[in-house]
Amino acid sequence: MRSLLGYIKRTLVFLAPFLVYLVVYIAIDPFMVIFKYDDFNRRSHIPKNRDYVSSEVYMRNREKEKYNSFIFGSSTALFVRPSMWMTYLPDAAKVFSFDASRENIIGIWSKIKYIDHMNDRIDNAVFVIDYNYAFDKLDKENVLFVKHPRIYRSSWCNFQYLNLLKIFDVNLVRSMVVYGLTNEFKPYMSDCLLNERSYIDLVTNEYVNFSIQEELNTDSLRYYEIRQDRFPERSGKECEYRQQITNDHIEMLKEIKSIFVKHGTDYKFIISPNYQQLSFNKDDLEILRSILGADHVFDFTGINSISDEKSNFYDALHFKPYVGKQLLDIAYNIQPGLSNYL
Amino acid sequence: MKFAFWAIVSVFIYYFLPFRFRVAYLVILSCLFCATYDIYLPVYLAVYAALNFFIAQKLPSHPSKKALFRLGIVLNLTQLILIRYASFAIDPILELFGTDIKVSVLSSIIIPIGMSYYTLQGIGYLINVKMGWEKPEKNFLRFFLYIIFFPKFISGPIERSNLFLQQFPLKNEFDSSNLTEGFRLALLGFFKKIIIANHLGNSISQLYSCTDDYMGYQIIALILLQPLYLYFDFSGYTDIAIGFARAFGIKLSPNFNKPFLSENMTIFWRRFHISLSSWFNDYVFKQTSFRLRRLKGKATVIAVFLTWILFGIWHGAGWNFMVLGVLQALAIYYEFRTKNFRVKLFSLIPGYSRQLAGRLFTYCFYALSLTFFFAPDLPSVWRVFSEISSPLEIQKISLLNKSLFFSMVLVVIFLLYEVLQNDFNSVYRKIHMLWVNNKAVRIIVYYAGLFLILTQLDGNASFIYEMF
Repeated sequence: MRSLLGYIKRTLVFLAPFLVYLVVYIAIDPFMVIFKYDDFNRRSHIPKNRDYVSSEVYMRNREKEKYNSFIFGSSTALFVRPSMWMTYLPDAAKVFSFDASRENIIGIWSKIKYIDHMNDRIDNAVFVIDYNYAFDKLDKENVLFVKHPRIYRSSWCNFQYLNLLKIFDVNLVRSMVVYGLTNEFKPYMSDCLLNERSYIDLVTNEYVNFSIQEELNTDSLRYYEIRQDRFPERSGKECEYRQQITNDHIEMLKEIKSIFVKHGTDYKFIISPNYQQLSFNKDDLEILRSILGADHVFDFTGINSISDEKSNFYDALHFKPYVGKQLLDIAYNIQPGLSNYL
Repeated sequence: MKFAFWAIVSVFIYYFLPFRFRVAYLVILSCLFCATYDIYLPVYLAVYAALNFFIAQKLPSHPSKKALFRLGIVLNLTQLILIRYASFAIDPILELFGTDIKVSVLSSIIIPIGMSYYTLQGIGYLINVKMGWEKPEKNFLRFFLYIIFFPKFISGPIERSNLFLQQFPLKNEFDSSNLTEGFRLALLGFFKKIIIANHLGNSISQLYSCTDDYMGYQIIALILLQPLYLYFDFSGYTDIAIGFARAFGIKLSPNFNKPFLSENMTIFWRRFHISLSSWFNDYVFKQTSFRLRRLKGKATVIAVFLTWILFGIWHGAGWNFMVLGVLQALAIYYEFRTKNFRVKLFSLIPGYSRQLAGRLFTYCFYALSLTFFFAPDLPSVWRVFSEISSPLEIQKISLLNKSLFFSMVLVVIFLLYEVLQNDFNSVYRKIHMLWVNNKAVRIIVYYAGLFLILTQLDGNASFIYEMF
């Protein structure tokens, strides 16, 4: 036994540098996933898992704020802002943006189930989904897209493990340390850090990126010039994306629908426009309409007056907030549908 | 990485446990490991092990020994065919008869992970007992551990029961050299897999998914990289398995012995995936040639082709694997038939050049035949070969990237080390002594290795031989 204890001691001494590194990581918690936080606006230069942030803000505030209206969807949902959506809803509506990067139906389904499980109300809901990611496979490896373990009911250890792996990314650590010491953003940091001013609302979880807007206001031509690679060439012809909805997705959609029926939810399912003008698969659209109801599904993909205009987009997928308002106008019958979007 | 963490923790707990509970502890650990793939898998394995255990118990004294033995073999093969080969061997036949029944559904109920490995172990054990080469194991827990032992469960080595079970009862005293050697080997395995094989694999998997994007010379380069990818991936896994087993005080058989220094395919298969090729040699080739001995020369031919076709099919339910086996059989048969002629011919070439030429030729043959291994089906193989001769177009994919270059440098270092060990022993011994006598060098290398592994972890790495 003594020799075993001695061996363990020697092993620990050998591993000491790594253990110290681990302790420093836990103490600093750069990705803000270990401890509980009131404000996720700290360390805005470090990319965070938006699903985790949204879920944490919701769990922290739900009792106090009594949310009853939810925005679900991917990063495109960031441009259908709570402050904007509120104006379409009754005064009693308490809006929360429950978005996540590359959100898909599995993530949305788990969130709706969680809200229902917690006996919170869902009076209003708006989905803003991408034509390509919404019914894609769940990403269980990328730390920025992996789901919150409590909402999705997955392994907490695995979630922490994926985050822990990130601290062995030499470029990230170097960038974090140099940025932390100098507060200066250097070109090599662009691969792993964010050079932007943004704000996450502590109550509604509304995310606003000020830097992009400032850049556009200063010189919009240059904005598009340096981001040419983010706008892929388009053929100008109708082009349909592949069929994605599976039987599992259908079951999830049915479950979402039944929860909405139970809550008497007023919901809108928006498939957001994309610059490439690829259409959402027609068979998938039929499935969505048959389950959720044709009146609730709004497809803005393909060739239409919104997707025609490059200036409506920040990049191939992300439209500008005024487009978000236009989509809501159509969904809430304030404006007639786009001339050729149906 | 998660595996490494839990394995290390388990090793230390193992040595704190009272001696009499250690086998049970390893069985529980192994069951938990299998349950991470499928919660019902340990139950299936327990039933499988129990059947083999009881058949072997009855074998020596049973009045119809032959019938009982055959029953055991049939049971082993049936479960393998039903679960692992149904889509290839049963469903198409049922379809011919116009039935909608799909036996392959079974594989979604019982996950066939590790099945090709533990079935060979079960069959080998029954043959050993029947032939009287080994006495039946009396302790079920030990036998169950032989089937399910977690470091080797997924991809071997395919252990011989007489070598594995004779290590029990394990030694009671704590031997720190087992842990040090075991962890060192496991670290080497992780290094081979994560730092070398994963980078080679990225390029090779792309070859089969976007063949049209590669130019002829790039395809040739990738075909030549295939053996290195397979070797570093599989020997990496094997080192991890042997290393962790060693840390528990259990010795597993080696699976590789400098295979790329083989001068012909016959020697190559004595050095590559040794546990599998020696299993087929002992239990298929030798048994078949013995039974067909009255056919004289033909017996060997039949035995060679039968062995290698089965060897190919063992890898998977597909015609490409069968062709892989046939190619190996042809090579070995050719070497067998032309041995005298080749000895005469190659004696004209001076010593080391002859060795080098043999090694190079063997490597190239294996690299080409591996196209049948990596390609998902036969049409993909033809597509790859036909693209080699495609006209020169604008280069669509750049082959040489930083990570591939880095892993190739490491490959060269590893292979040089093997060449030194094999061909230039005095130089090797000097380097080895430098390693043994210099603690600082060792510590620096260990830290560098660990650091590199941690920086390259991506959380989703899998091993090639996991799918078998």
